[in-house]
Amino acid sequence: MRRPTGAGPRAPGGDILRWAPIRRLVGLRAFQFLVILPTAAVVGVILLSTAVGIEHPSFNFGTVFTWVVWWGALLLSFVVLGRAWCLVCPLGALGEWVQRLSFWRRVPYTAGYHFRWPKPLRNMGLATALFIVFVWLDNGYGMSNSPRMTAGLIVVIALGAAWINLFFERRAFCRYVCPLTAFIGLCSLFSAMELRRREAATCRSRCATKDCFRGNDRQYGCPMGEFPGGAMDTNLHCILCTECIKGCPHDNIALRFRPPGRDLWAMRRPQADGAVAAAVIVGLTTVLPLVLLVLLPGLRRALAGVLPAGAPPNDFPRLAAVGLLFALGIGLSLGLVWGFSALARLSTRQAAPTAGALFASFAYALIPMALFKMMADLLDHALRTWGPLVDATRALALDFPLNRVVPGRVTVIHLLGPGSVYTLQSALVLGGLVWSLYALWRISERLFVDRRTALAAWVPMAGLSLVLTLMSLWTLGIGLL
Amino acid sequence: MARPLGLTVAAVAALGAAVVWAAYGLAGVIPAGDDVTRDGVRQVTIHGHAWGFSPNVIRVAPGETVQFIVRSEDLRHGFSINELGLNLPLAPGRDTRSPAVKVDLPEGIYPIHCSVFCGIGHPSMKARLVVGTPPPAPSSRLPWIASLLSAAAAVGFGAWARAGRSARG
Repeated sequence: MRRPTGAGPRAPGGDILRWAPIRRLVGLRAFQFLVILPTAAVVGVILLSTAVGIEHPSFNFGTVFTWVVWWGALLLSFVVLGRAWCLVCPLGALGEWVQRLSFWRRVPYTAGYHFRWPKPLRNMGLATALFIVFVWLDNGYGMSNSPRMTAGLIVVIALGAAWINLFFERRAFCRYVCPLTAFIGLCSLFSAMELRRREAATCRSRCATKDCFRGNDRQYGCPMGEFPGGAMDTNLHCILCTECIKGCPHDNIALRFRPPGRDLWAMRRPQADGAVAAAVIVGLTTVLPLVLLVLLPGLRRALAGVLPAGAPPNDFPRLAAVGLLFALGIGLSLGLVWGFSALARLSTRQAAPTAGALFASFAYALIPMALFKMMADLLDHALRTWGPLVDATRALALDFPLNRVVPGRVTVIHLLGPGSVYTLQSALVLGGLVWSLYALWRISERLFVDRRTALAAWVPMAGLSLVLTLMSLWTLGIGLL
Repeated sequence: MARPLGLTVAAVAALGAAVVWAAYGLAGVIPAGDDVTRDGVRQVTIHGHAWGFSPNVIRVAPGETVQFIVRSEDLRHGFSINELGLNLPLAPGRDTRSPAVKVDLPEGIYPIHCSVFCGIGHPSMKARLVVGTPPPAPSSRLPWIASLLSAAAAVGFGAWARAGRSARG
């Protein structure tokens, strides 16, 4: 038997909008533009550096800053601030500026056609597929250590945002197309901060205009098409643009801290597209590395007898092998989550919820494992090879902003030994496991009234979490064996 | 609940064993090829690929002078031994030669790693420089300890939930 759905008790924690200076700051019409400016300046330097700077990845400021500093900061930001990157992202903002013909003012005219986004694409499918392509480009072509490919990626995303927002309403690119939107949205479910309405009754009974969604003559409506005064109960699509805070005539929007991960178990209507995207992200971070490590050399050799060889990185047997193994790894991950969900249904001895419904609920709870595994991966790189950060900054300073000069030998800074690094990585991976176990238990408690049934559904999913954790631990530990 | 519980335990045990087997298979020692010694400098040839080095264990004597010749077979990688002050950028399909370095290190096992973020398997792209004949490194037990801790966490959490404590407080 199911419990009545609902978000459960309200999260504790203070509403930082009650603090007058913060409230005044985010109330400024130009607030988002002002916080985008510094990021836009950094992205401009990165674009120049990656487009015309030196190709040595350890001396190119753009590649080092993008794939180590930005990527690491992005992962950390999920834990505390949710989709804060989207608030300051100049690439998505470019599309908005083109559409509105204004940097921050509410203007009555527009350059956009404001077509509705096609109904079959109103889900995370396209964004998830593009995220897989994004990761494949990195593993097939080595995008993260190619300055030119990094520049190309930035340009493609900026032009894509401008082009799509010119034709479609609101921030259609950021919501449905950006290769990172599904990844950022799902990881932000873990965040310790949320933007929500303060009192549901105020929105239901006192608000007839729904300005947070529709906008008014002074403010724009939610650019992501969310309804903060109504159905929005997760961080999934909230980019913290503060438009709803400015627009609410009842001052009924709160920005508050809460227990991390609350969205994972408290969301009222878990959707299948988000669950599939979650299982894909978990697969890319835990299952796929092991699959690639074990099978790539052999499959590449086998395909070399069939496909023409090319000069690396355009080595067709390798590119095809990486593609096939991506399909295998992602398929395996989806199969594992589905299989263990079916086992959970079998354990409950109940016809409902179905295995599919359990998959849709439980898959979200695996996000902390993926997030903490990615942090463990990056921690390893940052601690082992801290030097390139210094080298790249020095190289940029010597030839600002074009970054065409190599300053000399690369710096080698040894921060921690392999055993110490692995211990820290294991702590992160175990942290992700414990959070996932807790989220799975909260979901089980929500789905089933009876504790024994809830436990019966939880046990197989806990088993899956353990398997995925073992994959992470042993993949990271290969160098120690 | 006994049958699904048994199926879960069996599935976890089988998949866990497969993971450990795969990891030990990947970590298996790949012997060094035919090294050449010229003018008292031993030239060690190494191939880097996503995501490993071949050979993955290089044995040297304390005080020996070595030159590493490293070739990336696919992407841009790095070849770094922090203790020797080496960090070579590797271009796809080309040989990169290190300067000749005297291995003035105490007997022990030193990590060799890729120093360029090269994709999803980058954290596993490691090898070992073994100087002399050191005893086995105690860190090789760490994956076992971490695995036991994770199993204990899952079982402990299950016991906590079974004891009737509600996560809702």
